[in-house]
Amino acid sequence: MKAKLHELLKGTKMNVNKRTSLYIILLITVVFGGCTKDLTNRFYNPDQLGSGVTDIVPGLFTNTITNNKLLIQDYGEWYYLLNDGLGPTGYSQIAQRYISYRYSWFSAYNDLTTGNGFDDFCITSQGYFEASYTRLKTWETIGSEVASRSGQAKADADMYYKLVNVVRLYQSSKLVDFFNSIPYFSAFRGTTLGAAGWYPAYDDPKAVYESIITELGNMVDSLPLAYSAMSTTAQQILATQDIVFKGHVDMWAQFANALRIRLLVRLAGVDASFAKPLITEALTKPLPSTDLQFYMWYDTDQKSAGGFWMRGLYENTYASFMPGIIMRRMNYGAQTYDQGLDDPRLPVLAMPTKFGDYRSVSYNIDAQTPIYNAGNKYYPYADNLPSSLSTNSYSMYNHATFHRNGKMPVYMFSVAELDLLKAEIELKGLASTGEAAEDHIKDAVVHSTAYWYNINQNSDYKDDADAQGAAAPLYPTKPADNVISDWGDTVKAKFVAAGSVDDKMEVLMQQKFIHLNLMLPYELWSELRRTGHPKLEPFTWQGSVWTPFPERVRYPSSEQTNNATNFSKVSGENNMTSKIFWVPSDRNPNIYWSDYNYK
Amino acid sequence: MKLTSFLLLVVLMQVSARSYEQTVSLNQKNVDLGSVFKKITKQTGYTFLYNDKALAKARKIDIDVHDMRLEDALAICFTGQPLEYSILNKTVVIRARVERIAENIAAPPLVVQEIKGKVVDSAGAPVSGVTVSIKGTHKGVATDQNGEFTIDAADADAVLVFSSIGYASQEVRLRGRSNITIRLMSAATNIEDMVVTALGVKRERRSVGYSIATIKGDELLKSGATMNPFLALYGKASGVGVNTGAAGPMGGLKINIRGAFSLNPNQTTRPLFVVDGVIISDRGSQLGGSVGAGYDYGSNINDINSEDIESIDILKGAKATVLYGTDAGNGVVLITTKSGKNAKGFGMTGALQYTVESPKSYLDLQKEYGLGSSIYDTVHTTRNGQTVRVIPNERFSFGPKFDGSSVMAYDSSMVKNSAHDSYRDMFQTGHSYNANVAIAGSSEKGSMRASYTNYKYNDIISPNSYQQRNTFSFNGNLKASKLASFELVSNIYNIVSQNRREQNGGSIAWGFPVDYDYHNLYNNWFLDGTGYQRDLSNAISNTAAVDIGGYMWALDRNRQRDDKFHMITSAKATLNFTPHLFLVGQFGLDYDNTNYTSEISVTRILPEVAGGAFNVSKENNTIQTYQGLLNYDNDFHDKDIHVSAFGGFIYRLRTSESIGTGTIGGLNFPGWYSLNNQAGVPSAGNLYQLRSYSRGNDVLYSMLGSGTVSWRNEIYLEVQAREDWNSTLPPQNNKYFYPGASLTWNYTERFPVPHMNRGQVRLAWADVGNGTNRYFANNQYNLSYISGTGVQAVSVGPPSNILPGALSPERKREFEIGINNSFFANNRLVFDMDFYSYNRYHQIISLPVSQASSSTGLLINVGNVKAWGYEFSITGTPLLTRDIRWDITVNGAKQGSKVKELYPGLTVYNYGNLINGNAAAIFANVGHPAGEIKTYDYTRDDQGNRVVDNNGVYTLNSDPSKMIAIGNIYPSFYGGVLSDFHYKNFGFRIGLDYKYGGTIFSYTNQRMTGIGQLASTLQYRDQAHGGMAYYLNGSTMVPWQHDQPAPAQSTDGHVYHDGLILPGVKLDNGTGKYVKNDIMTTATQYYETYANDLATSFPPDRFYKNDYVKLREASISYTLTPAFAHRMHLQGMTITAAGRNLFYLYKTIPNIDVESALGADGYVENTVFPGQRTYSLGLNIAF
Repeated sequence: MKAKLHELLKGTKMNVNKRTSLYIILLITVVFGGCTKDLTNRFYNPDQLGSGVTDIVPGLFTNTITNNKLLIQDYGEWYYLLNDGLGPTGYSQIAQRYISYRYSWFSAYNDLTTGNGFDDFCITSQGYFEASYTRLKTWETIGSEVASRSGQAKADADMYYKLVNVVRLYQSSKLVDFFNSIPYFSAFRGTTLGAAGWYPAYDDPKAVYESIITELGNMVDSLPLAYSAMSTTAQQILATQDIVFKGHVDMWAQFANALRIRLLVRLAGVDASFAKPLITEALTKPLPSTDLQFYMWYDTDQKSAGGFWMRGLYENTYASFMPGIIMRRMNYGAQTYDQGLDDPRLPVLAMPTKFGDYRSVSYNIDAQTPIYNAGNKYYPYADNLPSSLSTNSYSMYNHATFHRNGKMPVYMFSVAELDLLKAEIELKGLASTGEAAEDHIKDAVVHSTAYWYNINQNSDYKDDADAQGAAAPLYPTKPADNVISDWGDTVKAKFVAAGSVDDKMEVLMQQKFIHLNLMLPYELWSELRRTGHPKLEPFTWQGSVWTPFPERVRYPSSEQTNNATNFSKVSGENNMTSKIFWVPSDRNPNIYWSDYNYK
Repeated sequence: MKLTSFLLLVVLMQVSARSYEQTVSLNQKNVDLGSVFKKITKQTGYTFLYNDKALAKARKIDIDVHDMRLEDALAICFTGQPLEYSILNKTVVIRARVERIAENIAAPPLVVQEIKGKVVDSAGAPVSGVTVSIKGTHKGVATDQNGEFTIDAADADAVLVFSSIGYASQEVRLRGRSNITIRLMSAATNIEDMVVTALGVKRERRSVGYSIATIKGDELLKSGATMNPFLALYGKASGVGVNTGAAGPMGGLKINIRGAFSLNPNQTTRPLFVVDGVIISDRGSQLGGSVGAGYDYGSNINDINSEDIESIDILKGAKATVLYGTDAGNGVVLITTKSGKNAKGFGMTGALQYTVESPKSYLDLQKEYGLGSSIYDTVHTTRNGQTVRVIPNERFSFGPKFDGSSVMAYDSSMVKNSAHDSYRDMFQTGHSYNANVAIAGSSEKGSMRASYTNYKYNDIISPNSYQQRNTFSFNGNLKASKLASFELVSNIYNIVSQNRREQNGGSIAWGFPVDYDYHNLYNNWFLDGTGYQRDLSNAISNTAAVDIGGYMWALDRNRQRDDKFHMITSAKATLNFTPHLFLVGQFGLDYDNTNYTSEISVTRILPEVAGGAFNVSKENNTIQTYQGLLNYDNDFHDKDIHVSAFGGFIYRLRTSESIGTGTIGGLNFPGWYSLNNQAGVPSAGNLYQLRSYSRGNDVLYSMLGSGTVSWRNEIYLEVQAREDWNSTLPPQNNKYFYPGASLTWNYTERFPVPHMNRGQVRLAWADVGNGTNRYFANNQYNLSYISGTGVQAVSVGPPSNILPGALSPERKREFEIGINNSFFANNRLVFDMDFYSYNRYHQIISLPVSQASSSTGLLINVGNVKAWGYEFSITGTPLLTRDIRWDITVNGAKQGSKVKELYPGLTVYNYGNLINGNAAAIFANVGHPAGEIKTYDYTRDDQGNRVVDNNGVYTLNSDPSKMIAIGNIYPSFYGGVLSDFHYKNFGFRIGLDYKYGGTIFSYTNQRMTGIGQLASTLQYRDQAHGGMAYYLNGSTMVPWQHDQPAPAQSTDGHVYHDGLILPGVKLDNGTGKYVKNDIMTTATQYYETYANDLATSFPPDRFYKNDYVKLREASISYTLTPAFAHRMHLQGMTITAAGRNLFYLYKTIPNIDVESALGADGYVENTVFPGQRTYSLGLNIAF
């Protein structure tokens, strides 16, 4: 090239000056051309993914399902959820501190205004609202990929688009349950929608719920079709990338459908005419026949590192005592566990006290304080089992099942929860399930017992040095099937014996609390807010009896700062006491027991 | 007068008559007179005194003479020339021929005078080695050891020029005098000196149209050498803020120029540092950050050696920095190292200094009450069958009084319960040792200087915490020919640091209980019989004790080391094509390589070895600069107009890389630090521990041009421009242009003002551009693997920002007006002042959007912050006598800002958080100053009274819409005062610096109030401290008398003395209205409201405005008289005793040093170390 140019120049009648000028121009062009390329190359980070390296879609999907706060509960959130005992778990009486007057901050228990009482910090400050959207940016990104593709590549990506959409719908429904109005129809679309997507409007929560339900229905139908449209190779990749169901799209469809039923039952209290036909329809579609769950790819016994929710639980072991409204529905007669007389789940879910029995903490602080002051203390951590067993005066949740379980699954949907939803559907005549409500209750007890024994027995805490060989009381032998079945009948009988629909709902919701307990506390709080069941213990402090009932959590302050105009339309309801749209007008008005003598 | 001249002339003529006997032989053709004169000088010893300008007008001659009388030979030389001459003594004096109107008017007599004189310094001491020359001639002599000189001057009104290293050059017109005494000013105090401007161009200060602060090297050493020169820069340059952080002198430094208001928390606000034309890689300062092992390592600027500094010139405004382009948006600090150009004598100097580092704790701990929750809270245990009282495992220090009772300590020994100086005892007196030797020399061909400095520093925290520095500095230049000269400057640093200061926020949360003797606690409790950590898993241990034990263990047993090799090298070639045109090519390299090793001791050896780790990593950064500048310099219109211009290119490449590895799962054998001693097994899950790697690079291509036109010494107009191509910006927008112009008018050249030596007005304007952080402006995907999932699943994370379009450069437009006036003889009063105003606009920001968009921000150019301020400096000499001189300088800077606009429709932008979450955050609020800190206020009623809760204590209003502006991260006014008093050979110096404004959040004041350990928490604890008496009936507090025993209805039979009723209001449950508070609470409950472990929100009274006035330095020095020094065969010797960081005359923040933030760039304090007073003794010798 250079030689040729030289020849060319030689052949002309250019004088030396002109030739020199040409050389200079040529040099500048080469150098400048090199500079331009150099500048462009160095603009990009060599250790981040550039275009054309790999198909980003499967990875975006895996990113979604492995990110905490969507399917997997989060450490930071749990830390603050439990820590001061004033979070949703405290007010819903799912997990409590062992309170006496020494915790002066409980004097603000009746405060639903300032944040000094009911504490929604675990949601507002831990980015629950924000992460629910940002961690689903994958949905928009995959959507753009699908739109830009054609043929098989489009079909392969579309499957992921649908799966991520299921997660998005699930997360959006949880947001409504916390906040009521949320940005939805123009949310998740900041990159593609322009300014309207940067500052999305707040939508009517009922419209959001209905849209989610409709879309979930579409997903139930279209997921199998999308899967069959994938290439074989793409299906194999999906099996690897799908940490949740290993590419079993039928399970995703079952999950979507079960979720739909959960939302429809919630909606039925305020719009039965919308919900009823859809419940009927959903019951004909695939539903889980086994517990839908998955295991993390790492050991979930996270004492000091990692972001799994159990670390938050472990670090707040002292805030994980079992409350009366759960314990008393499992432990009848003597305080010890008596097989046949007591719920077989009791020793799996709870841990024995230093007295060798099971006792729940109380919200009657006036009565509990002298007990504490008399020397009935506890070992506050889950790192020395003999100390816990010899010191604890009340029952914590079982350290083997919960705090130190290396194989804690991620809950997607359980058969027992579905049983309880079906029981409510039958009880309220929302649709026909083909079985009586009381039989669903019994099924729920049996399925739930199997579920929790399975989790307990998978736990390897017994081999951990911290257990110091003392873990036997934490690993009860699973009772014979007939014992479990009999207990199912016992609960069924209680359900039958309950007179009114409300009384039956009390039994039903007691079972839901026993079953979901720490696994799904937010869902329990939603169900409590919707139904007013199970009834709670009043909070008694220095002679004052308080029965506060938080209805929602507040929006994060970032919305007030960064989405001010839209936010102003919902700021009037940005408190802890405005009801979520799905709270029916006939909710049980007596949410608290009048005293501590409840059964 | 005329008679005297005539007589003198006669005498001289007589004397010189003998010289006519000299003969010369010459045979030259077409030669200039200069070379003929050289030959004559060689043959006869006669010298020629002439003016270059006059000689330049002479024509060339042919001459061929043999043994001709000198007089005749000269006649040939001067025939037809426009010159005339006379011979006086052995000097041939030549001057331009003056055409006379009439032949009968005699020529004015040519007079050669012998001028005698003496040169003294500002203190009156003689200065030897001063070059004295006659302006416009080649004639020159040097002063002798007595400062005296003798020189012949042909013109009774000649101008003598005096120059010497360390002094400002001075020109003196003889005005007929034959004996004069000259007082030379030190360079630092003279306004007529040269300043270094952008790209190292030296200019006379009077010609510069913008503000440049210059600090001469000796100014940095007057109170002893510091670890780096910036530690001596406090209060010395107006508008330049300096501070360090909790990491102490080994940690980072912040130099802030004119606020550097940026709304992008990722954008650096640090100035550009340039050493001898080499751009230095720099980074922010943070303790507990992500670099290395989380220490505050500082940056490459920490390595600069004070002894090698010739001067530091700080370019403040946009105009001053135009030529540095992108890198200089926050100002430029130009450092020039010493060269051998002004070497005297042997050119050898030596300096020795020993420094004591004395810890000064500002933590005011209460020593009256021990651990516990109330004064009756005693804890007992059974020991050998006997019940004994123990020091309880408590967090709070609201317990019983220290009354000397017998209590069992941690090691089971019985001791008297008493308060210890435990916190102070954790620290030791540190010391440092500095030795420097330098040798320099110069000749017509060039000059060289080589220097070696050895510095050892031992920190106050532990004998194992130290820094050792070896610095080699070389500066050489060679005039190889008329055409070419070369310069090579290289500074090489090897710096080894060990066990830097760690963040001790954990200790702040649990305090430093004075109940324990920490050394005893560590040796007899934290360690067991094996000498390793006691197994505390079965003990319910006081967290404070465990924290403190762990802290002492880490310093005692672990070795965190960083070994840095750092080189700053500049190679320069200058080609002088013509006297008016020259090309300068320069290569600059800043290279550093740091090896980090971390030797973490095993914690236990029985029953099995536990813990331990060995980690290594290597970090490397380079900045390469290549530049070529063609310069043009010429005079026109009989030198009335001067034109100076240059233009060329610059290429700058920055790279960084780090790689690391470490052991997995502890060590097998104690004391052996090797990857081969790894106890664990590598797996996919711990891959990140096995290897880590990061890298990055960015490049800048630039073209630039500069032109200055001046009219005499009166007016200077300068225009400059630069175009950058920057790889941190997207390809389509990576090119940008910025211009600047300045005008200087030295108006006293035109309108003389009585008593005023100079009056100057200067104006400058520039609009400069800036790129952004490397890789900030692109939107790429992150990729990671989900290990342990069989075939590893891939996870791809989308970019968190929306990129609506390609970003373009941010801009800063600045206007500056300044004055510089000097008054009275010897410039005894100089006043310099600048007003500036700039807009930082089009900023590159990740502007937060609603995260419901699924993104966190928009990457856009947005926002406009207006900043303004003034800077002044007054330098005066109130006293000046033969033996006494007192110089004083006062400087100050005021700065302010206002957020003009954000994004349309957006009025508030939260761009930084001080604590967990945004309950205390930094905001840009349109119409308000930038950097406003907002936080929750106390709950208040409509009248603003604080509201108490049912327990009678205040609560915070956590409604985000009710947040209040509690302060601002930027200081508003700061500066310094310097006083130098000389009496004969003694020098006394005092340096103060001060700062007003700049809010800091203090965890120490927050948490240690909450746990009752600060002395301020004594208030309300007892009767003497204003507490109210009460007894408990159940849990009800019933008011009582201090001196009455508890009544029967008392629950526990005790009378308490720590009751209080907080001023404020309470909610009356009956009426729903606020009424005056009457709820009694306890001191304990009140103080505990400050112990928020969740770190979610803090009371507004824990944010402190960080005002202070500090006695930064004081010294006394003695310099040997030249005569005495000469007798010792020395050029000079000075002994200095000095102190630095002595004490605060005033400070607003209690319990901590004002410079205690987590990193010099931070606004949060969460690590408490003592301040450090240093006392030094130094000896400087010149040979």
